[in-house]
Amino acid sequence: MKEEGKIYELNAKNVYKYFGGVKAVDGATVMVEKGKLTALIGPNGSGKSTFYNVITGFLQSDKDDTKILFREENIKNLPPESIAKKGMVRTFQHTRNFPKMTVLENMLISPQNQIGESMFWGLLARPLWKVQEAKFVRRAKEILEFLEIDHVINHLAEELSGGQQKLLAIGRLLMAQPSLLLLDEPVAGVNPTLANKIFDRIIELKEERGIDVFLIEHNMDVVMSFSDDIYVLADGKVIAHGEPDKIQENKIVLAAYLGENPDDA
Amino acid sequence: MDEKILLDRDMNVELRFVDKYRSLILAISFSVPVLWIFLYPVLFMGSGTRYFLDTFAFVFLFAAMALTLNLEVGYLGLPNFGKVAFVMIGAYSYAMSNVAGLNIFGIGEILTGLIVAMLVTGFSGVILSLPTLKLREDYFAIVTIVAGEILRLVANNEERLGGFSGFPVTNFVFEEFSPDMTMSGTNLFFLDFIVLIFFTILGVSLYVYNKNKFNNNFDVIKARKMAIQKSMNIQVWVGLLLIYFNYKLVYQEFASISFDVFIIVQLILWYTLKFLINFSSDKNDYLVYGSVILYIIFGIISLSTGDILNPGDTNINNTNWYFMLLTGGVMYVVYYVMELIYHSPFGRALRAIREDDTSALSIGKSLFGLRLRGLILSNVLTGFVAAFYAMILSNISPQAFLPLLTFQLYIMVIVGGTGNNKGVIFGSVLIQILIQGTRRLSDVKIYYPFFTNEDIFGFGRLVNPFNLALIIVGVTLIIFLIYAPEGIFPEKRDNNEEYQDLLYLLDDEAINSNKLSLKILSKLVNVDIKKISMEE
Repeated sequence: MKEEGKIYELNAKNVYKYFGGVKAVDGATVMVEKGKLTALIGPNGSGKSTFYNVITGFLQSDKDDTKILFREENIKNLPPESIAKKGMVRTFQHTRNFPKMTVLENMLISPQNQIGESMFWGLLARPLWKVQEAKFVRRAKEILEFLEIDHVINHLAEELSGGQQKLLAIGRLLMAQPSLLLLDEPVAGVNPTLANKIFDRIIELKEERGIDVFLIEHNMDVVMSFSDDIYVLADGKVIAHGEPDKIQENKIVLAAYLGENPDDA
Repeated sequence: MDEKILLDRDMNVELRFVDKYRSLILAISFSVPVLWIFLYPVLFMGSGTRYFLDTFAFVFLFAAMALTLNLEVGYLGLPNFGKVAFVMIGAYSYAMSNVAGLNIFGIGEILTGLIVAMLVTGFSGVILSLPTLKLREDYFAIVTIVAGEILRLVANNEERLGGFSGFPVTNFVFEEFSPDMTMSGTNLFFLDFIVLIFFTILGVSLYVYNKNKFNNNFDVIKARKMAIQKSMNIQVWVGLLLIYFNYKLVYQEFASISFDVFIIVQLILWYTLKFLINFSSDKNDYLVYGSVILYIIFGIISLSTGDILNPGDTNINNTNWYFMLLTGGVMYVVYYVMELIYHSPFGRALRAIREDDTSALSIGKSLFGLRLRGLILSNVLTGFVAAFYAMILSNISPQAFLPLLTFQLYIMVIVGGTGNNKGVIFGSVLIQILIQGTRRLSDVKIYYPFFTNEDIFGFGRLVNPFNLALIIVGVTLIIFLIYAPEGIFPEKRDNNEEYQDLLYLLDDEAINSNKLSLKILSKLVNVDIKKISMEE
């Protein structure tokens, strides 16, 4: 499904996921356009994270007519690591760094195609992977400076504050040089100043590095002011789709969030 | 260095004395009683050097096995409770290959046996892990412990596997010498002196060369430390080579053990230098040169008086001495591989999986693939060590592979420090000396409940020191799990030095310093150096 002049980075059609009788995701369709910051919002329990899990391969869709295309390539039923290798990487709602490893090591795990990561060459080709490693270290330093957490480069990940951990999680993904970032609540539990800072960084990423971002967020202020395209999920279904101002005026969305009957509003 | 990053992340924090020297205090408080047990047979029971050498051979082999277990438990986070099964497979395949007289490509029965042991053990690791790796960690533990027991029971009842009595294993070191030949040859002043001069010149010149090289990129102390490490690494390999030649010469009754001792002492000296560098802040290298001069004086004195340990004839049994050196070499090889893995991106990926497997998946690491590779590597090395374990046992039977062996190895890893190779070696020294030493002490009378040599109050009971040692080990384990689960030497958490160097290193330098080896390697791996060193 290609509309005129639009290139879709991610095209997830008819995603279904049932947990027993609960319809967590019930035929949701989301298309992430290239060059736009797309947000997925919805009340608690509307299936946002489950939707993420399905498109990144952690869960399987329950129906056969599901189509998940990433850059025109079918990624349905692929294991999560293969999807990540194709350039679509994600964060988790609860930040999951590698706690007992240093910030620099956390960053260095991410790059793809590391020579030293093969069992054989990791042992035998030490001079060679050191050259590659030097490149990764430079890249890691640059990204940490960009995220303004380069002063904690030698600390353990578990020693960082919550906000720094969120930034580190984003930094880890950037090391993999992705083309699409899926961010699951990047500013949840972060104070407004830092939240704005994180979003400034995300916008910079999009504009300067050409990385597309698809995010889940509850903080309406930042979502409405920063995103270009919004999908609203409720009870596993997409109930609205459009630009921020349209979504803000949409009665169905308000009803879903405030629990009111759309006809009364 | 305009952009200096703090090397030590605790630099700004004032630590309490107990916290700062925690490892040292724990290590000393445990090693003093163990040392007492180790020396007791010599001081009061008249045991000879043979006891020392045998004990250390056991220590080295168990340390090597514990190191491979550390790869599974410490790096990968996989609780393999069936370690004994793989040790058994390795030992049995070596023994069976020897009994059958296998000799591929004419490389000799011993080498063939070693290769067979490594291949069979590695392959059996794959077979066991294919169905079990998808299981959760606790189920993996249950399956492996059962696998170990099944294997032992099968070997016990299967005639083709030797049955209850097992196989005899020939020890090739013991075959080359007559068992009780003692070393004389202490009048080899000339040969020893050459070694002394050669090693000193080699060590110092390597040190000076590397220090000047590192001085461009690092501060003085760091450059000195790295130079010493570099110098040591080369000396170790040269030393091993020389000891091997000496071993071949002993056969012709030409060289002596004092030669070996010199090489080992030299290496220990350089190793202590590396620690001493921490305390020297002066820009001069007086510490290094001073120690070298001291060493030369010490060497000349000892040479002029004969052997370092005993003037005149030594009563060191050469077969045991060389077998101990061999097992030490085996341990060093395993340790070297483990350190290489720990500092390589491969080991980093393994540790990442241990920390958070879901997160590792989400950035494209294949859990199954990496775990499988880690297990294969660990099992191949286990097979290698197990072949030597079979040699030291001289007769292998199912009774030698009780589950107790697995738990001994676990205790070594936990007490020493999970994930820290040096700690694991220290743990094996403690536990293995305790067990071997108390075996030796089985004639000593100890009465409980007061653990005295005589029954003071008349109601005491005799207790076997060996059984007492097992109880002590068990209690120690419980205490450690509660109060210090990370062990005596916790895993290094600021292991950034490797990458820290890279922060300063320019890519041109890295390429130019190793031009030839890089060219060959890039051909082998089939990558473009320009491409991997430059950002697109």
